[in-house]
Amino acid sequence: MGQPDRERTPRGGGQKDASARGKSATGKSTNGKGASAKGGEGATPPHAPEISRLEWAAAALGLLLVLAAAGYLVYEGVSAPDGPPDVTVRADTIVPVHGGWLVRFTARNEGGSTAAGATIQGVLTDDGAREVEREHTVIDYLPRGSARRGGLVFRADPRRDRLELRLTAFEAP
Amino acid sequence: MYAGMGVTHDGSSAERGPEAGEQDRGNAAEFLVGAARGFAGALLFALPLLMTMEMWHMGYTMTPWRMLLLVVLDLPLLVGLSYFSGFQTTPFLRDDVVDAFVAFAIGALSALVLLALFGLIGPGMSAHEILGKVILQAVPGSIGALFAQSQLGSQPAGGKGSRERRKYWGTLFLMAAGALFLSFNLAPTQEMIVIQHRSAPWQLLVLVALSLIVMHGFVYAVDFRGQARVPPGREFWSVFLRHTVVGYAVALLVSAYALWTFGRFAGNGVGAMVESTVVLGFPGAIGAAAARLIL
Repeated sequence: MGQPDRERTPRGGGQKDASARGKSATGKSTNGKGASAKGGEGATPPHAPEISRLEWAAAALGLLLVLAAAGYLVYEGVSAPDGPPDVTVRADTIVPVHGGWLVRFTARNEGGSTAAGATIQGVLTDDGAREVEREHTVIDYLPRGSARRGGLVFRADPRRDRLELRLTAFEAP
Repeated sequence: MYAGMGVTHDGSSAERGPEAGEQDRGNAAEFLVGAARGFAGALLFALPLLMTMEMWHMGYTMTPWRMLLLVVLDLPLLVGLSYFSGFQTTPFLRDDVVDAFVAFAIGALSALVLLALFGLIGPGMSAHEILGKVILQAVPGSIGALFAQSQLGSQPAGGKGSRERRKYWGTLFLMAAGALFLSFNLAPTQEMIVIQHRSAPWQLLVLVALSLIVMHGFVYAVDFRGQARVPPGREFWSVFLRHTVVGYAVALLVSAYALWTFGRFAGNGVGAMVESTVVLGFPGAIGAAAARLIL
């Protein structure tokens, strides 16, 4: 808590007299932020409101967050992959609904950049590799490294046929 | 942190004595009130952006370097705002730096909580997406928090202390901050591009003139509280050129920076860049003029 003496003796002079600490060099009194008129252990310069430990702690947290954010962004900038989107689509559940069979899926972008307007297409083929049905949906934004969920409704039962789910189109955001 | 809080609540600190502990407790209580005010400010000013879809997308589409620059520029902006607009009469920069970091913490925390409540960050999303969204929203949140700490308190805003230490460059700084604030709320939106495409060149020219007139009128003519007076003996043109025109130029520069940050310049020709800058420069000019009045 002991700070160098020079901080206590800026402008104005007359600092030897402890009673003079109540007035500032410019003659303005400090406002209601709890100025340390007492001078306590002399840790703060005259007329600077005492900063509570809680406030120091909050400021330290802020500093930590800034450094963490900056450090993370530098890391991102240096290491970030900038390859194309690369999306895996996994069928989660298949349940009967009005109008057919609902296939709920999870699309995960394992590539290096965001896919906007990511078109997920599901194709049903029968034993003879003939296409039975084809449905698609569009995911507005599929960020790199993230997953989004969606669903496709088929008229035919996807559990009987072969179901292929994949990304067929996207645009750069 | 916990140790500090413990001391605060006990009021008994070995090395500082009971009086110092009481002092610290009083200051801590005041700080908590100030922090609550900061959260209110972060809500008030950052909520429009927290609820803007483009801002969520920018969180993971913006290049890391631009976001880093934004965070790095945010700090001197906060320190400067605290210094020029705070009503504290102390000349000590240390307080302003502390205030700036506290404001950033408040901005980041409120962004984290609200984005989680809105379901915009959560399981299934990569760290890249979550951190990007939070960091980006922390910037306007921190500005709001600092603004509230210095302006929404029980002290009269724009007190004597803040006015006195502010000279020409300080005024320009505040105008830049005001321009940044308003242009930041609008630059991410799709609407800016639509307006730009719907406006003919002559309409944009009128917009430039309107920006200048409104800016000058805001500050000098319409008799708002906190309005600046044209010093006696000064020519109209002198004030207009040195304050309004320069202020508008600052607003345009800030608008261009905001557009660039949000990737609105990408792939555009110079003409389109100038057009969108003029469009965003209008709210920027209003923000700059308002900052002069309010702060």
